[in-house]
Amino acid sequence: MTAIQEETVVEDTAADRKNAAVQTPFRRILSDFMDSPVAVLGAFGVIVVIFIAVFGPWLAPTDPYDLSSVSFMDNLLAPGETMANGTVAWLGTDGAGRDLLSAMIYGLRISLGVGVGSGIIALIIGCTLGMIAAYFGGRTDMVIMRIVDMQLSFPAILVALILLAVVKGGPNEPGYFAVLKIIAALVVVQWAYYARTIRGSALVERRKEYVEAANCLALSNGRVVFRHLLPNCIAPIIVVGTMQTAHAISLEATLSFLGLGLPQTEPSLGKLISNGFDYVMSGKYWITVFPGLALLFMIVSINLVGDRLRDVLNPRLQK
Amino acid sequence: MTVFIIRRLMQAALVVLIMSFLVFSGVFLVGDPTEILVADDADQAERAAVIESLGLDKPFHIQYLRFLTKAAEGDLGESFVFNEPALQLILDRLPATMELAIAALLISIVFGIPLGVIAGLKPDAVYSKFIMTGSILGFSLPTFWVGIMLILLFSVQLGWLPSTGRGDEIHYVFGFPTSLLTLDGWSHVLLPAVNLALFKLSAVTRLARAGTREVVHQDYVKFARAKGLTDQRVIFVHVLKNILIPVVTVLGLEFGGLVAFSVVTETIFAWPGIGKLLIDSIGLLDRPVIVAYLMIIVLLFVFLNLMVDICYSLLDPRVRLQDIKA
Repeated sequence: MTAIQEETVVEDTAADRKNAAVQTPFRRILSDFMDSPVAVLGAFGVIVVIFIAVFGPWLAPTDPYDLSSVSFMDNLLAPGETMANGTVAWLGTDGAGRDLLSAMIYGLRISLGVGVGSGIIALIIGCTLGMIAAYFGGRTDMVIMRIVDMQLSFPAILVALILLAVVKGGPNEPGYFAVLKIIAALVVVQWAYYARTIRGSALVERRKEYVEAANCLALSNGRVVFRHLLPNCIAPIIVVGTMQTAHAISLEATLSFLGLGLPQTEPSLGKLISNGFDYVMSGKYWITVFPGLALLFMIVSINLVGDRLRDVLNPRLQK
Repeated sequence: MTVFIIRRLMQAALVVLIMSFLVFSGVFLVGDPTEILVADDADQAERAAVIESLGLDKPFHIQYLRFLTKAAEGDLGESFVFNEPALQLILDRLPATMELAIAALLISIVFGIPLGVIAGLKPDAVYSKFIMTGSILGFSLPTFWVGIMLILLFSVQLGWLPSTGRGDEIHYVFGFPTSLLTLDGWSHVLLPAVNLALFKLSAVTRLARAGTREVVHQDYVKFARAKGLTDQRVIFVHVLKNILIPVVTVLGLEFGGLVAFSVVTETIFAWPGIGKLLIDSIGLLDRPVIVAYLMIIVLLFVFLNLMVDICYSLLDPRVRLQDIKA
C-alpha cells in the first residue's frame, strides 16, 4: 500500500512540473503486468470469455432453449456428426439432442454471470462492513470481525452446502428463484474475505496523515471513508476480487454438479458436466470433457490475471 | 501455556454452542419431513401420531432444548430414513472419510513441500515457473471435473483402476476399519485421494514457495551461509523449520477442508463416507443425519483449530508470549 501511496504523491508533484516524465501508477502497473507473458495470455483469455458471454446468442450455431429446433433424434451424436436440421455439431450433442457447443456458450454466460454478479454484491457488502469495522473500531469492529473469523474457519463449500440444503426448494420452484438462491449463497460465502482484506488495509491507512487532515477539515465520516480511505485500499481488493470471482464460478459449478445449484432450466457449465457424468461410463466423453475445458479455460484465465496482479500490486515484492 | 489452553477451550465451547443453534435453527426450516415419512394414504390420525413420535409438534425452543440435552448425552436423534441413531450412521462412515482425507493429506505434503521449496529457492528458473503455473492449474481445476476425468482416463479408457467404492478387503486396526492394508484397497483409494489432494497440493506448494522466498532473505539464513554451512543444512534446518509455521497452520485447517471437500469426491467415486451420506440425506430431508453431520464437522473444526493454535505456539514462541500478555 505504501508504495502505491508514494507513487500517487510522486505523480501529483510531477503533474505540477509539467515536463517531468514520471510514470503514472496505472502505466507502471500495466507495464509490470505485461512483463509476464503467461499473465498476458490470461488477460487475453479473460477478454475472449467476456466476448463470448456478451455476444453468445449471436455466436452460438443453434438456440439450445428453442424446443422446436431441438430434436431428440439428435441425442448423443459424437463430435463432428451432422444433426437432423443440417447443422454440424462440432462438439457433439448432449442427452437431450442439444448442440453441445451452443449449450456451452449459453452455459458460460450463466456461469460467468452468477460468478461476477455474486462477486460484486459480496464486494459491496464486504467492503462496507470491513470499512465500518476499521473506521469505527471498538465494539463494532469486534462484532464484525468475530463473525468473519467464525465464518472463515469453515470451508466455503460447507457453508454453501448448509445454506442451500436449508433453503432447498421443491421441484416446482421457478428457475429464477434458484438462480437468486445460489447467488445469495455465494455472496454469503464470499463477503467475509472482502471484509477482512479491506479492514486490514484500512487499519493501516487510517493512521496516515491525509486521513487526519481530512478529519481536521471536519469532513463527514462518509466522505472521509469513501473519498479518502477507500481509494487507497483498492489494490488488495482488486486482487481478492479476481481470485474470488474464479472461486465463485468454480463453487457454483461444484454445487450445480451436486444437484444443489442451478436447475435444469438454467444449465450452467457445472450442470452440463453433471448431465454428462451419466454417460461417462459408456465412453461418451464429450458431454463432460468440453464443458469442463471451457470452465477450466475461464477459471485459469482469471486466476492467471489475479496471480500476476497480486505480484504487481504488492509493494513488498517491488524492487 | 495452561491459561492459553483453558481460554482457547472456553472459546471453542462457545463456538460449538453458537453453531449448534445456527445449525439446528437452519435445519429446522428445511421442508416438512413428514411428507416423506408418512405414507400418502395415511389418515390424519396416523400422520399426527408420526409427528408426535418425532417430537415435531413442539415449538422451536422446546425442540432445541431437547436436542441440546440429548446431544450432551451423545444422542443426536434417530435417522428418519434408516431408523438408526444418526450419530452411529456418521461414526460408521467416518473411518472411510478419514482414510481418504489422510491419504490426500499425505500426498499434498510429500509432493507439495519439496516442490514449493524448489520453486522458492530459484524463483526465476524455468522449472520454478513451470511448478507455479502448474499450481495455478491445480487451484483452478474444479475438483469434480478432475474426478470425472480421472475416472474417464484410468477406469474407462485404460481400465487400470476401479472407479467406485473402497474395495471388499477391509481389515481392522485397533478397531478401526481400513482398506489401506491391501493392494486392492490402495487401488481403490488412489484415484479419489489424488483427486481430493490436488487443490491442497497446490496450496501447500504455493505456501512453501512464498515462505522460502521470504525466509532466504532473512539475516539468520545469511548468517548460516556465512558460517559456511552446507546448502543442505541451511535448507533443511534453517529454511524448512521456519516455513513450517504457516504450512502447519494451513495443513491443520485444510485437513478440515479435506473432510468437507470429500463431499464432492465421495459423490463422484461412490466412496462410502460421511460426505456421500450428507448429500443423500439432504436429498431425503433426513434432518437428524444432517444435523448430526454438521455437529460432528463443527466439533472437528473446533478441535483442529485448537490443535493448530497449540502447535503454532509450540513452533513459534512469539505467539505464546503475546497470548499470555493479552
